[in-house]
Amino acid sequence: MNLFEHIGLYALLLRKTFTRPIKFSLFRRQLVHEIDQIGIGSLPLVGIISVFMGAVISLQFAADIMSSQLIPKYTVGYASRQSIIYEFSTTVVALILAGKVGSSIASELGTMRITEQIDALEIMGINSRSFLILPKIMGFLFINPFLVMISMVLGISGAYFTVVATGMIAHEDFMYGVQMDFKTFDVIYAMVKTVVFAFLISSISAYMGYNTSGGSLEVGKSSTQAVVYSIFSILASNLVITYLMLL
Amino acid sequence: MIEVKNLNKSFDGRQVLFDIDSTFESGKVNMVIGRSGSGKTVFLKCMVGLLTPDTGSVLYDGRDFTAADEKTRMMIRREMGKVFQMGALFDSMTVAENVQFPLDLFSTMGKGEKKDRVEFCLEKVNLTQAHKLYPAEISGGMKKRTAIARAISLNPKYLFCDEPNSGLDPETSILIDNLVSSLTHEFNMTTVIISHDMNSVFEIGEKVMFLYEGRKVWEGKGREIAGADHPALREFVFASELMKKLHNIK
Repeated sequence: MNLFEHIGLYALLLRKTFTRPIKFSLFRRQLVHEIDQIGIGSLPLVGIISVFMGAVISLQFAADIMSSQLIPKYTVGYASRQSIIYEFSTTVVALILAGKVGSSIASELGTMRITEQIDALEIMGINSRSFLILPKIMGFLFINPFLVMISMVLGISGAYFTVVATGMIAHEDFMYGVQMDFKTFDVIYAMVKTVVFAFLISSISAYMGYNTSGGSLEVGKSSTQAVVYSIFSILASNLVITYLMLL
Repeated sequence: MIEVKNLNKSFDGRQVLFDIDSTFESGKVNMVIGRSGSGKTVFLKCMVGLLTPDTGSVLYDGRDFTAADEKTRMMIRREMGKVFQMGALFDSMTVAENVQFPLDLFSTMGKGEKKDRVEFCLEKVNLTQAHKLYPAEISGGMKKRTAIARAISLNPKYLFCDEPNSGLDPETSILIDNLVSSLTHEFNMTTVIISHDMNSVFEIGEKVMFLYEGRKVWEGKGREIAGADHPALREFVFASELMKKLHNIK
């Protein structure tokens, strides 16, 4: 299949996915399960990475700024905040989640496909796309902004404790930098990226998993392809969103 | 009753089913047999709509399933039960939850009624002790029985079984065969079983259709099969030494 055929099938899959659930009580239960699996399950990973990345980002800025007499020290707080909000907590976390969540969705659906569980749903008269994929997409769309906001807070906290605790920057300087020239639009920009990335990761991974055919080897391949295509789509959409929103 | 008319199916230009016509009556165990690769599973998948035939039609009590719109197909599918070759049980659910799943989606029963129905279905397949176990914790035979219980939970009019006793020991195979047969008669279902197990054919096959290289070459009652004169069918039926010896003794 060429790229255009894949895009066509992906669009058809989405069309059948976004239909009314058979039973809302069951959909709600699945949604809560997905939010728990994707959101709560990813929290430790996102948390640890955010703290350490925030710490490293602030150290790198501090190392550069300390050697200069012209740049004010509060710049460390300002630059750390901007890096974390603009790129780290949105894009880098999305890339990490593409690996964790994307492969999990693709392998789950791929296994269901090769063990005929999806066929079993279809035979029962259930729209398997809507039943299996919709709660995953909606769950990830709902929880990803929270994950990213937590990542922002932890990233900035990591930066604060690293440079302030080591005495490189004074508490007042860092806090001034973090609050300086803060625009709500920056967070809106980050949230738009977050929602788009969540949709791309969950839908592309679901597409790859749902269309798996063969055996366990193919489930592995689908899983890998899901991660690769998700990452590529995140990078491409990041460029487009940034161009449209910041320029 | 299910009527199949002029069913053809091909994949990438390679035809696997040729003009298949047949009628499967209700209250009877209908069997489709043939060698591996003869098109049995493709035939079954075309019947239940998992594959779309190139030409031909499948009629469920006069309703054309192949030409129906998506909504009608969904409605007809809710009258079907299918037992998959490997069971196709949902891994994340217990045995009881698997059986209850179709009830949760499509019935208007209350909690108590659903519980009773699950108990009834599990009792029918002798699995009342396993209702809290997960599919990974039960044997192949138990998985098949759970799949049968799930398939009959909504009182289907049509039951399809894809090699229900493959990979099972002879004793469990007979148990599964008898179970499917008794359920078919008790609930007056139209049952279609895909198999290449001659023992099943002789035990429960009331109507048998033999597929050879995608074509229907013989159709008749299960007990008539030993006297059939089609060379491919004779080769298939008497493939084992045991069957040959039994035939010679007779």
